[in-house]
Amino acid sequence: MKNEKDEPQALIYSTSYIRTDVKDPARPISFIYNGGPGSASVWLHMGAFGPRRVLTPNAESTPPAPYKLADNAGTLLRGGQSRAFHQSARIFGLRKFARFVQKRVEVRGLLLQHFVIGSRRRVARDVENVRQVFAGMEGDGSQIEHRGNQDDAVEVHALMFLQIIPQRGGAERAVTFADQEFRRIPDASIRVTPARPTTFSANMRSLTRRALR
Amino acid sequence: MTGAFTAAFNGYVRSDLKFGQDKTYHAISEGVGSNWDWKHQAGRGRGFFPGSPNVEGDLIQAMLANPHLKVEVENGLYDMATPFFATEYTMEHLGLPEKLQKNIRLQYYDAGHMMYLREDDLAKLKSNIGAFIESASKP
Repeated sequence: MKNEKDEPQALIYSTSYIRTDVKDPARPISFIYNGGPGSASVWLHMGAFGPRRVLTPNAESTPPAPYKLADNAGTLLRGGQSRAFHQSARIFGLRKFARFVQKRVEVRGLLLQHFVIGSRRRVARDVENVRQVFAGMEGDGSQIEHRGNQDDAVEVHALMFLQIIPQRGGAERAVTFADQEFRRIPDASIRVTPARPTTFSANMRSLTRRALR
Repeated sequence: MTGAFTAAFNGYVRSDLKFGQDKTYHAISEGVGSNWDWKHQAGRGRGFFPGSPNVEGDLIQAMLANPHLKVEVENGLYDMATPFFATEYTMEHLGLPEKLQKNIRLQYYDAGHMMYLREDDLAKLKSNIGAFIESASKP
């Protein structure tokens, strides 16, 4: 997507799997869209129909990282090893999305690089970079998911206190980064401090409120 | 499950597909969701009244325009977000001629709308959709 100055602001992206070793004009082509405003194709792509599948348990809370991929027996693709990958990204000039893209994507992008959490009870004064961090409880409360922030691929497990501190360097790798090649030391760090579950939600609320102030 | 999918995809797209090193993938974008334009103009009209976002009319129009179009809906029996019964009701109240109504088929799974998270249903989904594609692509 481009803004009013015709500058690219976001990419709309698709993944294609094309078999290159056969020439059968009768082969069916499937176009797969995932529904839901704002929801991407990752669910059907990586859960149902793509060649690789994310392993998650059924009817229970997802265990902590590392997350595993496996060959997908349910894929609609035929041909196994002969498949080829093709990706394309095109920039669309959708002016009506430019406003929120300018404001929000930048913040999310920052978040991806400025990870997060704190220790003890101190919340930093300088939390401009983390205005978009929301935490929500899932399931039995033993698992927290970054909500406003799901693009960043963080699920924090057994987290009881979420705090944000502007601590430079020395970050502990308490969360798994989406991009495993990420090696830079974050400007802020996240640490997980277990506490009694009963104190959890009140603390979360107040911390989140303070962080967002 | 969101974190597992997003993390795994981000690794997969960069390591296996070699794409998007410097890009952010929005698995669920609240920016898009909260700014979604819910207005929907059914059919080809250009009226100013947006109406409600009901896309049944689009399905009916497509099925009438192309009587060979086959439709299959995969339903999770335990889905609280898009419950199967509402789908049944909708599909049975499109007002299609009987001949076209036969082009709609409903399938059911012992899971929610992400039935593929359950391995038994993943296999069933593949089998059903494979059969659907075979039957729908016959001349």
